[in-house]
Order: sequence, then structure tokens, then C-alpha cells
Amino acid sequence: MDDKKNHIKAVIRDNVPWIMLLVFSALFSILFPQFLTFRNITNILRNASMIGIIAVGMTFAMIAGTFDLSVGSMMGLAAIITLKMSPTDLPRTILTVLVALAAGALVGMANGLIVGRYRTSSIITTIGMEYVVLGITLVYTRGQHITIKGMYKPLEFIGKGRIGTFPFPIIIFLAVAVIGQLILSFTRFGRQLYATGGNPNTSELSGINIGKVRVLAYIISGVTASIGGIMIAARTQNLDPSFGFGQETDVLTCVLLGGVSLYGGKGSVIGTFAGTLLLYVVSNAMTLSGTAYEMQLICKGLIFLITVAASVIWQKKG
Amino acid sequence: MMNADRKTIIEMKGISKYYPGVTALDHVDLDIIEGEVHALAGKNGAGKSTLIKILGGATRPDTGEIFLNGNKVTLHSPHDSIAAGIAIISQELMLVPELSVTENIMVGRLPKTKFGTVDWQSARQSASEALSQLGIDLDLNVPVKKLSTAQQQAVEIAKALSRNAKVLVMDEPTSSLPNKEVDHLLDTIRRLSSRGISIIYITHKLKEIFAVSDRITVLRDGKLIQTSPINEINDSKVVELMVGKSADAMFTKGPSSIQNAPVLEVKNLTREGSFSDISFTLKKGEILGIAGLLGSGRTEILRSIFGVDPADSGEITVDGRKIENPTVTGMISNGVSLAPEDRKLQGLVLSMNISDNINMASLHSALRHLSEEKKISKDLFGRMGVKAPSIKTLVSSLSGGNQQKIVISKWLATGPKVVLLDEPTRGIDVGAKADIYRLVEQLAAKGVGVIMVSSEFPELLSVCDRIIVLHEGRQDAEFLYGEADEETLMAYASGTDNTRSDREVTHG
Repeated sequence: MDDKKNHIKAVIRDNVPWIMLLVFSALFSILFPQFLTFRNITNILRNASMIGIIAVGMTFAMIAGTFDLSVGSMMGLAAIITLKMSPTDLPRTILTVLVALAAGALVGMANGLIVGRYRTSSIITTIGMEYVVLGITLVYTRGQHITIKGMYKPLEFIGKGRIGTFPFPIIIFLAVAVIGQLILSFTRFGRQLYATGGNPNTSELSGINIGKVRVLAYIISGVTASIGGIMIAARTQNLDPSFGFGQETDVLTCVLLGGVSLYGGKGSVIGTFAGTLLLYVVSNAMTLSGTAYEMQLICKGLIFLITVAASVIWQKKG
Repeated sequence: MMNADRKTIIEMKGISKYYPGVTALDHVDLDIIEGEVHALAGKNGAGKSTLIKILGGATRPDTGEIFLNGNKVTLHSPHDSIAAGIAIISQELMLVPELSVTENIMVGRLPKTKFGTVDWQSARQSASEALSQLGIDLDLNVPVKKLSTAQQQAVEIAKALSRNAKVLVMDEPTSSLPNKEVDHLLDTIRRLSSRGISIIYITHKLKEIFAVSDRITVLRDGKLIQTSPINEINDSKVVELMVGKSADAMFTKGPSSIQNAPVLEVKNLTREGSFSDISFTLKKGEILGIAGLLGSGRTEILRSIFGVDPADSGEITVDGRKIENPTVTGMISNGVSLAPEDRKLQGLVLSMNISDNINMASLHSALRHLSEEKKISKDLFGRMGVKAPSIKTLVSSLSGGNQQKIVISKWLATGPKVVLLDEPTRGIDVGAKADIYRLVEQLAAKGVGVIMVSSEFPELLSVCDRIIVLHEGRQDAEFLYGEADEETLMAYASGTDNTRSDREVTHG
């Protein structure tokens, strides 16, 4: 009897993000008639895709017990690379995408090596990296607004395309999330990630190279930031040079709403997926209700703060 | 001294505290009379510290009531306890090293002038009044980090007195004091008790208990065993009450399974500042004990062999292969494993479940073999007799003994040739201890070489085939099973020239 009760409790606890998502969606469906329409739902999903993909990567860094706050600028750099290298035909597109992904991997590796080797605080290190990357982007663009004409159609498709009436970015988001969860659940690296974040001392004494694990986690985070950036570039084709800077807060909100621990060792991509949808469902509801942009910012900030506080309280409870 | 018409100041009734898998306190009653020195005795894990935590408001009991001067109280937080006049002087002093004596005594209550600035004159006066109650004279402006441990302790006591503490709880106050300071402290305690302040005195040192206390309460395994006036009991009776039936007494060593082949050879191993010139050969199936006091280098030797903190010089040979530059990963692949001293901080990942912990050191391929992992963890789970609902249970919810079994399981999953165990039975209950001993014996029977480090000498004496005694980082003596007794080991471990004046209970 008691065991059964505990079991139900545990199931609820593990699925809080999904339960909240359902509750909020139900509430908004009642409040706003436009909410539960195919158009609006796919709209939410499409908007959530880019940040959601980056949140999948950040989930890896966070489970390993480290933050990656450089993903905002990294997304920006990858997006700017995508526009500036003028991918108008297939060869140029392949080169562009590879360069953008490699940039993400390099920045991730740099983060990982600094945090791993010198045991610096990952928050401070990656905030520093956020500025370094922003600076590189500004030098690269000479501070100019960037637009592109005649983008190679298949590349444009990953940001703008639809299969039938279904936006293609959502499919990429789903694919990245599925791959992410599979890595976490079914690879040795996944286990080592949880172990490293849960207790680095024990992990080292069990023969796990925690430095290597963290570098890999950061590379994944950097690469997903690049993927997000490429998709946004493909969609907007017109960007400010400082685009992306500061957006890591949104990413972090998604990850924390998804139940990933601030202290490492706990969380899942499935959770992050729900957290991302939750954030975008709430901002969609604010738009539908006609909330002013300024108010929306305040609300987003508050959601972030409440999530952080809840996450800390949650962890203390065990 | 004691006086029958003195009133009871604190009464704890039926106090119980349960942690997952452990009953820390089981319906304990304790009453403290005004002005008495009440000794609290018991081995580690007997429940003393839990009782003190409850009294200090750091944790709340699951059952039971606390009465203060006859009124029922609930101590929600340390703040409540301080307000109720209860002060805890713990082993680690709660002082701010950079601040002056005055500031430390008056911390949080510095008086203000009418301008809102600190009224230093009255602060110093209050501080010096508190110190003079102790009969101690200190420079009030000196930062406390410059004081001796004994003086810092005095500052802590003065802080309590200046807050009008009626009950002082002193947790192992003499553990870090030199001998001559101990007498000072005992004098101070007598002085405070004559002024009507009650003292709860916790120590391992029986001599101090008999020197200073009026009554004694003995706890064992979370239960109250006896409370009696000190003049109605003697030290051997106290030891008997504290120890009860011990795990090593319950365990009978089977036939030794030593094979005539060395599995680990250590030659002239030296690490600056930790240990020097350590040499020994461990044979297959041998259980080798390393006896040493805290700081003897016992843990450091194991860590060096395991490649965590490599030695400066010396040779390590595992199964005939000389190891150059030992690393943890290298040692694991050579079949060496280490169950470290601190289970929670170094042995387990508390946020993971049993199965993931057991498999974490033996994931050989990039893709997991889920069925294999399940098989290994189920098998070890059963063989070890782990008490838990399933292999998916989080290790954080297990008792100490079961947690230790998981740490050992993790290493058994790697198929080790040498198992290094650092304090494998620390803080676990009697039954689980006996389980661990049997496990060690089973390992040896399979040809695994086991090294067991312990500060509980009786367990080494009853489990090990051979014992090496360390003193200040050097090999002092070596005994075969049955050759030594606890006193002999203790004499070597503490250095024979050191004439220890007091009897220390080493079971705990």
C-alpha cells in the first residue's frame, strides 16, 4: 500500500514538466479559443524548435554538472556565418554548414578544456566565452546588419519549409531530441555524464575521465547552438550582428523547467522537451491575450526566477 | 555537587528519529538537572549526535516531546534552541577566524550607539564579563585565528554564556586539546556547573567522564541503555554497556585461503609528508590488515597504490606486472579497486540508482548492454544481501551498510584481483558489519587479495590473516592472525614511547 503510494508519487515527480504542460495547455484552451487550433499549435512548436534544440545540448552540459551560458552568442555566430558565407549553391552550402557546426564544436571544446583543466567555475567561464564569441561576430560582420539573397533552397527549407502544412523545423527538433535522449539512455557516455554530474569525486575514483566527459558535453552544447543558429538564419535571412546574445536565459529556462538539476546528475531530454514547450505555450498565451512586449519580458524574467528557486527547493528535498 | 531538590531543566521523553533504513534514536528519555554535568557515552552511531542535533534544533524528532522547565517546547531551528538557553559547542568551532574575540562573542548582537554605529565599549565590556565567568583573560581585539584551540573554545563558551545559556552541550571538547589544557577545561566545567549551568558532556574518554560528571547516560544503537549517578558505576561497566555485543565478537574467522602466489607487491613506497618506505607482499586470497591511527598514512598508502595520489618513489607490481606511473584507470584495468573511506563523497553517486552505481566502473563498450547490466546488478544485489526494494532504488535512500555493499559490488563487477578497503565498516550497524566481514572472507576464498584499513583494531584482529601496524607513515610492526591483541596494536600504532595517560575506547 505504502509502496504503491510512493510509486505513484515518484511517477508524478518524474513527470512534473509534462503535467504542468498539460495543465497550462488545458487552461489556455479554455481561456483563448484560438489556442487549440492546428495553426497555433504548429506555430508554437516551430517557434520552440530552435531554442529547443539548443536546450537539448545544454541539457548535456547541465547533467555533467556544468553550465553553458555561451550558447546565445554561439547561436548568433553560427547564424551570421550561415548568412555571410553566401550559401547559394550546394557546395557552398555544405561548406557553410560545416564551418558553422565546427565553430560551435570549437567553442564548446574551448569551454570544456578551460572548465575541465583549470576547474574554473563554469558559469564565469562561459559568460566570458559569451562575450568573446559576440566580439568575434562583431569583428566578422564589422558591426553591419547582414542579409542574404538567393539562399540555396534546400537550406532555406530547414528554417522555412513545410511538409504539407507541418513546419519542417519541428521535425529537426524532434529528431535532435530523440537522438539526445537515446545517447543519454543507451550509451556509456550517457551514464558517465550522469555519474560525473552526480559526484565527480566518485566518478574519478571509478576510472571515469571526467575532463573528457565534460569536454564532450560542451561540444554537444556548442554544436546544437550552431544547429539552432543555422536554422534561424535559414528562416529569417536577415540578422543583426549582435543577434543571439543574451538568449541563453531562454535556453536555461527551458532546461530548468524540464527538471534538469542546477547541480548536475539529474534530468533528461524528455524533460527538457516538455520544459521548452511549456515556456513557448506560456509566451504564446501572453501574445494571444495581447500582453505588451515589455510585460512579456517581465513575465519571462519572473518565470526564469521562479524556475530557478523551485529547482533549488526541489533539489534540497532530494 | 548534586542536590536532590534541584529542578529538572530539560526533559526529553520518548524521542525517536528515523532515517531511511536506520533508526537513529528509539524512544530515548533524557533529563537534565540544573547545574549537573551529565555525560553522554556511546560508540559512533549510538545516537549521541542525533540527540544533540535535536536538542540544538538542527533536526526534529519523529516522535517524542521536549520539556523546558516543565513547559513543552518545539525546537524548530537552532535559533529556537539558542533562545531557549541551549548552546551547542561542537567539535568544529563556529567562530569567524578573521574577527576579533569581542566580535565573535557578540556576533549578531553587537550593541549600537544612538547614532546606529557599533558601541564598541559596551561590546567589549560584555565580552570580557563573559570571559571572566570562565576565569579566562584574553586580548579582546585579537582575531580568533591567532588563538590556541583551547582559547578558541573558551571564546565559544563565552559566546554561549553571554547569550544566557542555561545548558551547554559539549561534543568531544577535548579531542583537539593538548593534555594540560584538558585539565583547564575540566576546571571550567566544574566552575560553570557550580554556577547552576548544566552541561551535557560527550566524550570517548572515560577518564574525563569520571573526573567531571555527576551522572552518565549510555546509548547504544539508538537506544537508551542506562542512566545512573557516576558513583554507582565504574569504567569497565560503562565500556560493557557501550559495546554490548560487538560485530567482531559475532564473527568467527574461517580457515585462511592464502595461495602461494603474490598478487600485489609494494616496494619502498614513499610519498613526502604522508608515508615512507612501505614494503609488503600481498598474496592471492590473503586478507591483509593495515592498522593505524588518524594521520598514520593508512588512507594515503591505499590512494597511492590505486593511482589517485601517486607515490614519489617506490615500486608497485600487480600480478607480476610492474606498474609505471599508476593512474586510476590503469590500476582498474590491472584489476585493482579501492572502496574509499567516505562512501557518500567518494564511493557512490547518490543521485543514481543501485544498478547504475554497480555498473559505473565496468562499462566496457560505448553502447550499453542493458540486459548485461541488469544481470550483473541483480546478481550482486542478491549475493550481497542488499536490503532495498529493487535495483532501481536510489542509493541515497539506503542505510550505511547497504551503501557500503553497493560500493563493494561496483568493484566486484570489474572482476578485481586486489580489493583495497578503506574503513569498510565505519558508521554501519552491527549486523551489516558482520556481513561485510563474511564478504571479505568470500572474496579471499576466490583468490582475491584484500587489504583492509581500519581504526577499529578488534575487527582487524578477527578478520585479517596478517596485520601491518603504521605509526606516523612508517611500518612499525607486523603480526599474523592470533599473534597480537588490541593493546599491542594500539601500543605500536601510537608509538610505544608515548605513555598515554587516559584510556580511550577504540571500538567506536
